Amino acid sequence: MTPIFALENACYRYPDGRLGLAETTLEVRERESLVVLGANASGKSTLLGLLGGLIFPTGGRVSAFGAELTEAALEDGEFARSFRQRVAVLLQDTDAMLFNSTVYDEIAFGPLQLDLPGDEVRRRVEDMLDLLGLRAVADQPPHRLSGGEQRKVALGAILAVSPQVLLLDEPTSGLDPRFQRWFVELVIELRRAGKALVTATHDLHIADVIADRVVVLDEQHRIAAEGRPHDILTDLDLLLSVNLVHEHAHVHDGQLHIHPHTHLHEHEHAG
Amino acid sequence: MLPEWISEQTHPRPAPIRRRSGHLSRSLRDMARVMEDAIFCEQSARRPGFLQRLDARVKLLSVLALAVGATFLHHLPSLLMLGAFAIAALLVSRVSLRTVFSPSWWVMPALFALVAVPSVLSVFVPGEALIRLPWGLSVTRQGAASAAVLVTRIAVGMTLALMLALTTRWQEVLRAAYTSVTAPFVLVATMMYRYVFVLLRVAENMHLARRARTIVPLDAAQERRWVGGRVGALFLRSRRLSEQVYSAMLARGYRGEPKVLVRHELGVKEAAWVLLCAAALAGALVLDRAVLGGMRW
Ligand SMILES: Nc1ncnc2c1ncn2[C@@H]1O[C@H](COP(=O)(O)OP(=O)(O)O)[C@@H](O)[C@H]1O
Ligand SMILES: [Mg+2]
Repeated sequence: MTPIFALENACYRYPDGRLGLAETTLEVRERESLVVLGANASGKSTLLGLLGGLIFPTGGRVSAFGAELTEAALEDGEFARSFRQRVAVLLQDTDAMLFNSTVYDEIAFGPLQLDLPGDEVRRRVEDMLDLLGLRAVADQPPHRLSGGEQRKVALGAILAVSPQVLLLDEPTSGLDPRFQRWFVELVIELRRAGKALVTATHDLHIADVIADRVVVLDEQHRIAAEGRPHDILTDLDLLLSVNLVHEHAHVHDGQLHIHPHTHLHEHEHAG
Repeated sequence: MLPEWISEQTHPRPAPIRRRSGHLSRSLRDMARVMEDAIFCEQSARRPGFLQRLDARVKLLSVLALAVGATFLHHLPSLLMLGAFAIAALLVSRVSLRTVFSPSWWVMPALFALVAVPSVLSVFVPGEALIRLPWGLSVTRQGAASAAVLVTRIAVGMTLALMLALTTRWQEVLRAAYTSVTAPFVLVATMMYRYVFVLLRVAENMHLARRARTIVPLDAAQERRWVGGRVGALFLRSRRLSEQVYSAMLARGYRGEPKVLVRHELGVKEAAWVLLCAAALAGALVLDRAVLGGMRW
């Protein structure tokens, strides 16, 4: 079976000369949930940009659905349409995701670009509003909503095109545990519906809960490790070396425990 | 390690709240809201009125035709007749007079009035003296009349434009204006619409961030300096953000052509509207030429 995405020695250097991603070889398979773990500035967003056809490798190649993903390929209207319909991207910056004047328009934007008939667009928006619990704010500008609601609108906006694979850049960062739980439940539903997911995060807990497979980026923007979540998330030396945990983390009963650097109040710790 | 001073508990007691007149800071805070209501008049555009229900393409073309027609009117009564038609259409469409004559309505006519001030004087437009001024100058009737016509024409033009702007959602206007010839302009306008929208939000957030960090109220000069600095920061942030917004649009399938949900069908409403506009314009032209043309102004 052809993988959804294949990177072959792909790398990316920003126009100002800074390295975003060092030579990387990686596949994303159908229906899998891949988590890209890395500290800040390790290259997670750059990797997602390459997969999402938003930037193009400055070395090596990226292919999607068996075809090489290049700027020229995406200028072809038909290829672009089918690619954008299959691949959805949640950018890290929610501000950039919300550029319509109402929540309704925001969700309708994607389906409209794909030339779905009006009734189908309306049906999808309505369903999304129900799924996200945002019916009451459908006519409001997205930026007047709370942070969690904004992230939900952004997610609804990309889900409305019914993509085959979702690229999610730090989907839970900065939001409270309730949103995180909601997000995990959404992921479970999406997996049941057969979607593939690539989620960039530095949140080890989210990785543990949603990943089939984890790749770890180090601070030199390279893949430092790849494997099953349990193996990666219990490898303290690895996590320390890529700056995802600090030295007060430890493992017991096969579970990662992270303690604050110093204790405000001394407490006994067994283990 | 945190520096020592951060754990010193030397906070002054809460002071009584002072009233302050931070005009700039207030205007920045309100900017997002005001701009949204002014530029993206979506409130009135969503109301179920006559103009709101018309096909956006028909509306765009009719407004253009009326505006071109207005340039052929040379007398106040005929111009005012066309203006009254526009206001009547807006009122029928449930747009209040307050919305029509908002501060932004006055800007253009006021500017033109300012520019037209010298032209009322006898040195520029000689003629019958209406008001005598010192130094042998006078305001001439001819000068005053032509200035009044100029300013009125601008005001009528503004009001005509509002028939479109206040009753049509921006996306629809852009969609209506999209043809193979106008595509590049529409593309630029579409992007500007998105960016202005996003930037306003950034400006508002920056303002809130400053609010949170300000301890002593700034005086007016400091306030201006701060706003100046913000404009710079906003510009830098906007470049990055505009790239991101464009990425987000591409990722969601945007390919340069505006797409909107509401597509009105051409029908009886549109035909009636075109006839009404034609009648109003013809009436104004006849009044202008046949009735007023012979009169001396
Ligand atoms: N627009 C940009 N221009 C220049 N360098 C960038 C840009 N975006 C990211 N970088 C650099 O690329 C590297 C990887 O960044 P990024 O992919 O955003 O990391 P992450 O998402 O893991 O935080 C960083 O060193 C960062 O400084
Ligand atoms: Mg990132």
